Amino acid sequence: MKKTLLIVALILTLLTMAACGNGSSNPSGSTPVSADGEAGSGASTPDNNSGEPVTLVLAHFGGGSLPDTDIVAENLSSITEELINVRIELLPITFAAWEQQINLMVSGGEKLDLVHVMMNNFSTDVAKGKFLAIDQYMDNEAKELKEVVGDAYLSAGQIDGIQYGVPSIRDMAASYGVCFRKDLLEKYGFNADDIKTVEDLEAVYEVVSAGEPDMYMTYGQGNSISIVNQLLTSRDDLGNGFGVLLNRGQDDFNVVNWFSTDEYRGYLDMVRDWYLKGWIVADAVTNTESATTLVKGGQLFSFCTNLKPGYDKQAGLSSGYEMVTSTISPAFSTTTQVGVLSWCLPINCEYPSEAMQFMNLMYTNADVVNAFDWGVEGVHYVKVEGEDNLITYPEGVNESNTGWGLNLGWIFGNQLLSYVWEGNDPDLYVKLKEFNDTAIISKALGFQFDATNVKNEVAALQNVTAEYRLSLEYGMVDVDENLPKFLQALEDAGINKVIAEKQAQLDAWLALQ
Amino acid sequence: MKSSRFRKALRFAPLMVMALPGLAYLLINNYIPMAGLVVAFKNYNYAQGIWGSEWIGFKNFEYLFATKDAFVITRNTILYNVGFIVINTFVAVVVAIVLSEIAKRVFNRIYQTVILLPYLISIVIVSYLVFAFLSADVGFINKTLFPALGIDKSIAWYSEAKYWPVILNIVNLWKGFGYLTVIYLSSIVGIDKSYYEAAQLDGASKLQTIRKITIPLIVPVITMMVLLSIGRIFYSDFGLFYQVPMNSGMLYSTTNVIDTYVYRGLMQLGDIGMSAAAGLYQSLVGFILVMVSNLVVRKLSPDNALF
Repeated sequence: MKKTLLIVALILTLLTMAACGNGSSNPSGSTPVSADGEAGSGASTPDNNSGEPVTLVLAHFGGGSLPDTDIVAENLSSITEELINVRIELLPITFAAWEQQINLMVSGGEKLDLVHVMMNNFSTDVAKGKFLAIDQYMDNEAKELKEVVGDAYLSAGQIDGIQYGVPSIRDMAASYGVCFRKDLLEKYGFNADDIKTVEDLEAVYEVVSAGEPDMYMTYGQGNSISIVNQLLTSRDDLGNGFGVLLNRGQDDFNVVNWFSTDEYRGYLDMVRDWYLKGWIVADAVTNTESATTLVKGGQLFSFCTNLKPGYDKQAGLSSGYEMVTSTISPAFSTTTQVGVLSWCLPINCEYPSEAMQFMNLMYTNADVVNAFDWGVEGVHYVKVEGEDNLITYPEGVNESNTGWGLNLGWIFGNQLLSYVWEGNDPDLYVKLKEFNDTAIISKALGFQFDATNVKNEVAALQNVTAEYRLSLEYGMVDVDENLPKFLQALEDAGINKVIAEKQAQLDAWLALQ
Repeated sequence: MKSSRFRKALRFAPLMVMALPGLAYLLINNYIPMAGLVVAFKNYNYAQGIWGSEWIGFKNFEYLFATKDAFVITRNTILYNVGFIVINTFVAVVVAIVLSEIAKRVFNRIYQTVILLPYLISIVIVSYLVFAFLSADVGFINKTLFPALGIDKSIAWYSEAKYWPVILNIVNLWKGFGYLTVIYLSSIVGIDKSYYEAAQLDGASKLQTIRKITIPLIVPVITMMVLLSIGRIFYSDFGLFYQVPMNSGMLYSTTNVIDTYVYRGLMQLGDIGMSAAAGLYQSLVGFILVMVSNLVVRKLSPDNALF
């Protein structure tokens, strides 16, 4: 009797422990999804017939800690409830977990009404049936949005003429150039405004490297984007860089292999020359430090990057030195640049009409934009004395203890409506709008390449470029020896097939224009 | 008859109940999802779901075999894994035997802890440790070791592919042999002392004792561990082949394995069918190899086979 009792007690203990173990492991594994899912169903009864507010779940990038997410969502909801009888639930997901989690939510049919998509996934996701077509809403619920965004930019969210996404309004073009340390530049008698060509740049580096032998002159953006890519970009990469339009898409519609052009060869020779002179960071390919970190550490004089209004202030904040920029390659817009981030309705969106009404607000209502970008007035930000649209931290709050340090204004709707943070040019967004409006627009804006038919080739090509590209474009290896190998490997992997496919799709798209 | 067998089985009931949560977990997490393997043969569409998406046969597998890279990655994967198995097993057995000879328990414990420590360190940290040694600019080898040995030049380790088979084997050995050693040591300790006494009486030397007694008696454990490793011969430690070479393109010819190739190829495409196909391919090959190896072992020495 005693023995049986002991055994039963043992079994029960083990079962309870197992249950506890399983129970506790769940939240850590799926906190964002389960927690917010439960909150969503408890918040309000979604019923758009009886006048009850409808709740929309909005997923967005959210790096770091955002402890005040619920407060910010409540604030945002109070504004939207008054305007369109809709409540918003924010679902921040980290960049690293984004793809996985959204895939799971969509394929699992979980409640998700608004999501933003990055360009490199857009056409494949549409081909896989992830999003709803929103043409029917463009002239009703999203009327004002259509006017603000404009047909040119909207075309970047279309596939085969059907609207799937709306690009956010931010810097819609990119110019490319160099960001220098101001003190060193002036020490050697140069002015940033005078540096307009690569020859001017080389002259600067000659002088400065002679005077500062222990410093590196230039770099790209970390170990993923090379100097050639950031300084000398004058092509429309048509989505994935395998097959491009030269000269910013201004000339013809011939898709060419960028890597086999004389232009590319010329750039590689130049960068190789720079590397041999010791101007480029030595371990460029494996170095995981960002350019601004290297400047901060006093090891780097300048770096090549894509530019937009206000970039010098931004770089100055991260590097600790005052920075100035020179533009080498003027601003231009391509589908890739415009469609960097678009807002879409996933197929499991419960209330597409209400979601489009909210999207309309995102592009036209400054209160909504600021409620998301900056949080609650008085709690997360306050207006600067005497200024209308400059804001800063309230008393006692700083960047390490703020409850809403999102600072990703470029993802949400129309950034031009947002307040400007203190330290930046108060006219920042006015200048940004001008920058966007005066940029050269590629004639292929609106064309999206669908890689479904050449999936295998693209996968192989990604491996080939990962192997050769960075080392060639940072000048780390001999060009004569390695460029032919690179070109041969690209051919073996099927780049000509991808280019032919792209050309066919481009011609078909042109026929529809 | 039936009741006595039932009574016998009932004696094991507590053990079965104890195993129940684990078995349930295995069933739910490992066996039931096998149905999802069909994704490898489909063109996955979110609107249609797994069961509704269209069948496309073996098209998702093509990218693994289509290019020249395919041969390189398969060769790399197999050669590295064979190397790892052979080297790690050899070193682990030798060290286990040596450790078993140490008289003082304290030292035994200390050594075991020290050699097991690398196994517990995250591979990302290991990659930075390696970077500290091999960095062209500031690495220990280039800056301190070579000058001390009188060698004048410095090698750009992360740009030369030919050194990496050796480097990766060393890193994998350092990280993994501790775990195997502990396993082998525990089985050596379990050998009946009377064998050793008998050997001593017969005047066997140390080396003879090891060769004739210790090793044959731990062969079952060694066989088991090797067979299990063979099952994973098409898998690679992603951290070892992606993080430790710092994802440097110039090293791909000797460090690109199936897992890293799939990762790099599909990061942009995000194609679920293709990545499922890669996983299926790896596990299928591993499965076949385990069955074949087990068959071979069973023919040679039936006691040592896994099943």
